[in-house]
Amino acid sequence: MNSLLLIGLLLMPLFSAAFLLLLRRRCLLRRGLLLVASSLQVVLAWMLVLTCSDVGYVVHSLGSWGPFVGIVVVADMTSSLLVLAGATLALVCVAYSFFQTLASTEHPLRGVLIQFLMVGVNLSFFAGDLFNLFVAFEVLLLASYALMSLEADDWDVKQSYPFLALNVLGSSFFLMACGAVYASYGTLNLALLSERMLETTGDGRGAVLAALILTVFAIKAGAFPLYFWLPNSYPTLPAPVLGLFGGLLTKLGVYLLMRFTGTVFPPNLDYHYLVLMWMGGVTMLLGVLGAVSRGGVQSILSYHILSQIGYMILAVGFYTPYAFAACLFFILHNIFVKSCLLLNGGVVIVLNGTDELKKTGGLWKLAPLLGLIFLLQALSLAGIPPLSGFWGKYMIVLEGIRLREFFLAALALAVSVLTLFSMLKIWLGAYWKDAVAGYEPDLKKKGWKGMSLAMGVLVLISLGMGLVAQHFVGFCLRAGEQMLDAAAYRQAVLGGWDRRGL
Amino acid sequence: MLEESIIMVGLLVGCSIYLILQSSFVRILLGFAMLSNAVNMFVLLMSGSPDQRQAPVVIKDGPFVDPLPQALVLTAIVIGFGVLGYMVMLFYRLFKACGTTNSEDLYSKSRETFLIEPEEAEK
Repeated sequence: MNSLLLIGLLLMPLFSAAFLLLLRRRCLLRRGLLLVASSLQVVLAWMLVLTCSDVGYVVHSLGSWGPFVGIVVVADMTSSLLVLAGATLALVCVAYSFFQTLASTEHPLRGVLIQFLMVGVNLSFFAGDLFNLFVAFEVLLLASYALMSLEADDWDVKQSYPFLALNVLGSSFFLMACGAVYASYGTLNLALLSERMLETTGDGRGAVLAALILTVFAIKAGAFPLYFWLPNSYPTLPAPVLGLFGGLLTKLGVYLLMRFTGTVFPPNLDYHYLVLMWMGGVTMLLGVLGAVSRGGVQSILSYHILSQIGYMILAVGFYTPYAFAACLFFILHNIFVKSCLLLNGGVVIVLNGTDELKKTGGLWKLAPLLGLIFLLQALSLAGIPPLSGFWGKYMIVLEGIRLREFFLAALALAVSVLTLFSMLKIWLGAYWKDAVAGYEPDLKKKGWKGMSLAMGVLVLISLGMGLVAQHFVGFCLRAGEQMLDAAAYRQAVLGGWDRRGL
Repeated sequence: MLEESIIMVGLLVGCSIYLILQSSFVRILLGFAMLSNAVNMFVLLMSGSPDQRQAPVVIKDGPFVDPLPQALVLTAIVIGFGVLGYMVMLFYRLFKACGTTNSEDLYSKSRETFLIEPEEAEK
């Protein structure tokens, strides 16, 4: 039963994508199917979270070949929780896109590609095998390349190339790392790899391979020297897809950094942690400075994704159960808050016809509720108590002080102030100042109320995370400890299977 | 056997990086195609040298060549082909939209000059 949940989360989006492909001309039926499939994924993910919270790990060996010769998929508390967050976000973005465009004018492939993207995302969260993870990444990336250029106009389409080029390079490194890992350790299974890496600690190959694999995930996460694919390409996406990308894809990279440093690699890679920590610090500073330099709502927010990624990587670099819990909480907060802000930017585009801050304005008077949504989420992002962003940052800074990394803790606090500054820039430009003559917001535009309603769900979730933080933090603390308990992971995956001389 | 192959992979990766860093789309495309082949070859090498070893086809005695990297490479070739197909289409669309196959030209244009029709720009 438990493995059915796991398999269901992989097959449900795959089948729905296949059926959606058949329904190119039946637009209402297509929407209905997409909505049902997205909702079912949320239900399945919710059941999986409850199961993982009870039993710790859900492991399924495909075809019952066992972990030594076959492929396994593994869910633990962290991955199931993130899959739940991803499925919820996908549902909200799908509902939002229904309000944004009429069924007859919507691109028929958007829903299909979103479902393929979810196949890749879910499989990457559950993969228990390095090569399987590579395949999952490619499924996800191909869907994201296609979404990137699907609805772009002739001017915007050239931004897909840097996105494509850096990710293809990253994938080549990844494949090379797979080959090298197999040659060095004779396995691709993560649990077995972790066992063998632990047996050969002090062997130089382990450190080099770890560095190669972590580089790949840092590219996917958008960490400091490797983030150039993100800030120009994301703002060209249509708002619902941008919300999904901004919320999910980079966070997947951070999750994999956590999974590999925490569970797979031996716990003595001090130099790697140091590099990760400083990479996080520089990413958060450069991300927020880049955001301040931009002049459009979506481009400020896209650049700002990087700054938030910096906090998460900083927490991974601290490498303690508490820091991992903080990282998980911060990822969850960011999935909901950042996407909500990006979706909000989409409403600004609908009302004003543009998101350039020079031309927007006057929304606070006309649509105060929309302004309130923005304000709540922006303050949460900056870390004002008692909103959800505060708790994540509080935990990270606290752990930084405990580990005597005073400079990085101070940097994290300073970046919060700059975050507030860049959010204020949007607030003043789009909401507070009077409308610019010739670009008055038009409240008669269709759909924006429904879009705001969809965002309301995200606001409620993030408010809940902030106001009853006790429960969420408790769950995250358990998940963080589980993530660093490599022995339990190995026992869950390998225990009870015949080794047959392997 | 192994040494020559490793040198070959190194050469291919070097050439592909050189090609990717050029500004012409055709060269970039060839660079990425070559890179994916180089990486596939690298993975294939992980089977080890076939000298003194049997192919694991029927049960015979003897040290076998590791069959797994070949299975991996098969998947990787298909994926690489798909990505390359997308890249060709993207470059074709960029060529249709912007009338150039040179990335330097493409990314140096500002939005204002781009929006002018080519005939007007010539005047």
